[in-house]
Amino acid sequence: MASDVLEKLHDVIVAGKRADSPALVTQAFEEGIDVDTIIDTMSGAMNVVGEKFSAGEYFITEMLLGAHAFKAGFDILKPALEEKVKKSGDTKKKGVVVLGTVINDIHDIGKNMVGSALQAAGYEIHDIGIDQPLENFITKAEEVDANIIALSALLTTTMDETKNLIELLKERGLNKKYKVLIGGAPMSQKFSDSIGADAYAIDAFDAVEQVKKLMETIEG
Amino acid sequence: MESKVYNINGLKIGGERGVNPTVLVGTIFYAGHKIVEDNKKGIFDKTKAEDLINKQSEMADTTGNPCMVDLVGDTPEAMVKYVKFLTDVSDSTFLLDGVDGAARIEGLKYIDEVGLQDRCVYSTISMVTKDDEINALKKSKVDSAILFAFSTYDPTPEGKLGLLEKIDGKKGLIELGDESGIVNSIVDTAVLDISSLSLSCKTIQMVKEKYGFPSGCAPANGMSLWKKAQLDKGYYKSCEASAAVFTASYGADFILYGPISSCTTVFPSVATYEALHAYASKWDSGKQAVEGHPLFKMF
Repeated sequence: MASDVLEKLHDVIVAGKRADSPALVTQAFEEGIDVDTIIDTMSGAMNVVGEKFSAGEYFITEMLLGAHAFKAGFDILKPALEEKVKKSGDTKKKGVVVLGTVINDIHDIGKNMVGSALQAAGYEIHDIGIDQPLENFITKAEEVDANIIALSALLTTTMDETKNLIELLKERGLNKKYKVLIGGAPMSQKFSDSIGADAYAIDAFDAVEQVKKLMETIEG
Repeated sequence: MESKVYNINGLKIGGERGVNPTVLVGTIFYAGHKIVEDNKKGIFDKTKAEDLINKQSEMADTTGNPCMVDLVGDTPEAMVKYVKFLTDVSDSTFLLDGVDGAARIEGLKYIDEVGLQDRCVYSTISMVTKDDEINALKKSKVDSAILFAFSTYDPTPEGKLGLLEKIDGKKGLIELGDESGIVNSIVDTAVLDISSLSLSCKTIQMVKEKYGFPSGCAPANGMSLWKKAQLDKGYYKSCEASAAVFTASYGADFILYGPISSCTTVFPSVATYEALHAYASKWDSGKQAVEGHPLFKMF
């Protein structure tokens, strides 16, 4: 009889049970289930979390718990995922995003949710954390050969850092190399347009859509 | 655990439910506050600001719910100007609520220079407070602070409660407060959005039961993200007052209710609840509300 481990894994992510997801990922491996099937299950669960949030059934608390449950499982899965890519020789990535909260800003809820949602959608995420100087975004982007730099700012006093990054990229001739995605409570599409950002995301799931669109422009 | 009661500048906060009334805290100079002309330089309409501060004090006198002013400063320069202004026009206790460490530290220096430490509650010490702030607090004479029990990792009541003590080898909020020289530790149970207010209120009860610290939260943080409540101004005011009453009903010792201009709706709403609750407590357990409680002001 087939195990119901994937169903359970799906359900614990939807229910935001972080303590349970790593063991279920391990169990799925032990049962010989392939990496792709496991990640698809986990991504599907995150989609359900997003749908419930959009429908007003879930709120930020459930979003955070779901994202943490996903991440805890993903951390177990990651080495196997990387190994599989190495073996297959298919090194083409869906997209590489450097993510962080700008300097003098310690907010990380939105950033973390964006990170998990993008990971669930198959993107490679390099989260450099909170309170990060612009230089660190660029250094990391160069190091990992990123496609997109995603900045979070939650304060009216820190949101201008997004503009400063765009100017810094221009100064260094890197503005064509990296797309810039911004998000955070004080920002808007209007602000994004005014500073010349490539995209603005209103929430974590919109960030997935925006990254998808940006990657199409890069690949296209 | 016995509930602690602090006396900060004559304002009593904490204690058993139904005895000391909830302290209501109105915010001024917040992001987008129309009376602010330059948030970085701290330039604002002084007449309007004074009117707002006086109105809140008047509402406190009328209803019996004590008040504090939450001073939000975006920069060190603005923070100092706001503290100076408040203390020129009012004797109210205030929260030193700089948006970043630099603003808060500069505010602390000014407060120490002019000897305002007894009127100040530092806002806030959190799990991400940096060493320079802890050191500045250590040097300062300010000994009242809000411990911000906020965890993105675990936003459940148990997760928030867990932040007060040492976790994963990291210092907990109580230890950080002690290290900073804080004597009057007040816990804010961190509101993420309006739905999470219910979890924050549950946490208030847990904090009081386990540690006895005066506790409360900021329904205002949920209000700003509550789009449906913002459809109509009249609708919004009712929702805001209701969220404050809900918070009071969980025994909150303080409530950051939102823009100070909302004092005219929030104070009477909370005071009515508290008067009724205090009277019920008297019948149920013989607890006597203190002099000046809404019970003696509202009815």
